[in-house]
Amino acid sequence: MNKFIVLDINHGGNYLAAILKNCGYEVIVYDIYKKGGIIRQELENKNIKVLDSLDGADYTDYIISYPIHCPDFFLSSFSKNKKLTHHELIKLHFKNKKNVVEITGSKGKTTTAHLLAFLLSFEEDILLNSSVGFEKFHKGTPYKIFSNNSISAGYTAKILSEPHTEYLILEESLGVCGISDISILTSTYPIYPIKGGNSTSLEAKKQLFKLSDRAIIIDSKDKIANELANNYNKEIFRIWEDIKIDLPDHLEIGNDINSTIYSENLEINSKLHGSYLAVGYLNPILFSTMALKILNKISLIKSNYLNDFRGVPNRLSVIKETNYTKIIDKSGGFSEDSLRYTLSLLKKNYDMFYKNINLIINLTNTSHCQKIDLHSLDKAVGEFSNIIDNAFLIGNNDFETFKYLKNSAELNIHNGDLLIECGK
Amino acid sequence: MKGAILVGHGSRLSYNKELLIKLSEIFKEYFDGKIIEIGFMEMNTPKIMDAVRSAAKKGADELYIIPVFLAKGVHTTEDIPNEVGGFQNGKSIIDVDGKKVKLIYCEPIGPDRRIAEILWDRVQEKY
Repeated sequence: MNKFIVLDINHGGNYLAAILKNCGYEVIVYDIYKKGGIIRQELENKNIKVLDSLDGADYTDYIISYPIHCPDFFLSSFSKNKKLTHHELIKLHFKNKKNVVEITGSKGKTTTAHLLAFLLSFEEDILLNSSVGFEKFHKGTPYKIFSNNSISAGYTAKILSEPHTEYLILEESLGVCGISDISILTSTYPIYPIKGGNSTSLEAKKQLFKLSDRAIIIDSKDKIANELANNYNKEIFRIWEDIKIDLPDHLEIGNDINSTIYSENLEINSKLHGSYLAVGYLNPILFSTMALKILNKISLIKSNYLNDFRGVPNRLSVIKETNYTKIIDKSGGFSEDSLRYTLSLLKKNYDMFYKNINLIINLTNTSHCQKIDLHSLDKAVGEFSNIIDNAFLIGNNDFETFKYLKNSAELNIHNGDLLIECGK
Repeated sequence: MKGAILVGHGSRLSYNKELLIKLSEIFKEYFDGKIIEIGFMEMNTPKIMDAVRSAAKKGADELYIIPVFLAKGVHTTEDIPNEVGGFQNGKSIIDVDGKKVKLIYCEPIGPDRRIAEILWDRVQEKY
């Protein structure tokens, strides 16, 4: 019988361990970051042994399952063991499932997952797991089931192991497990370090091509994704090649936009609602429409439910207040690069006739995994000093050391202003 | 068919866009092509490539890209060429929705006597 040591109590390892235990395997969890707490108690209640250091015992006959971003240091004690990433273990355990779409990528995966869930929910009941929460979608309406979920591979395994009749749309961090009808890779950029700086997020993207053996959708404009895809003999669909979208030449923030989606034997005119920045949603729109096409849900595309979509809350959302306009762009993936992306999007695509353009950044919800260097952030803000009049940071900071970022207490909004709210 | 794209920097204030629209109207009196569009680098729409696409759609297959900038600088030497995929010796041929379009990149305004005349006019207006 296989015996497993599952690494990392924190990144879904606890769920994987419980599934393996339920299947009758011998399982040990190695709490590499010594997080312990309630998760450890819950595992021990299930008779799963939790180690916070190796006790010198011989574990050579155990299969080691680790998160793909786990630093090599923690694996060095298992040089002779068979090793599988969490994603690989899930692929091995669940094989290929029906009515599942997995979505990963450095940017745009939450928006893509939500839009696909929204559109598909007019024909199927949907369970959506995303960084916003675990939700049910029915005819375009989301119902939050709970928020304390995660988008780790381990959490995907938890969802797969539970009985359900709904279609599953699963946002996943650091690659997909490859158990789905369609795997979507939204973007390989930005590339960020993993494994304590010894590797990059591209390792997770490579895993997508290795594990997915049904349809894969990538962005034809994403050079790295295309290079990776060329190394594998897989069924690849490319947005901006296999499917395209046209927008009008003049774009104003907050106004509805007429668009045309083109694909083979398909031309759909839609009115994209002004409640979100449509230019930032083009890839999610194309990924979702391509996925519907692959799933043979053409009637859903033709029914034009895209007209009813109002964007994902806080993701490039536009709110027209009485005397000013507000853009909200908050996500767990906030970084200097994502700020650059948002500001470039505005600068390059929209008429920006506002009295004052104010930027306010809230980093009070920063997780331990993604620390933001405030001085680099200050520098990034400075690159857009031709469009940003005032930039503010929420919280107590040493504002005298910044060139551009000011205390948010100084924020004053005037008639005709634009306010951009960013952060986590 | 010949066409021209007047390229402006783009601005937070509406005057820049209005100026380029008016200038393109006046330019029609000089240009022997029928298609004239405007495009902006940033902060205003249409973007340069949108203008190129629009001109191509109207039938242009030879487009003069005219930077409405006084002097050479990073915008005229790098940013604008990058927006249309680059030039070789000031020329390129690009694919616009399946149609080949020749782009010819013009010089910015430069230290022209006619500019000095305009500046002198502006001074005289205040005499």
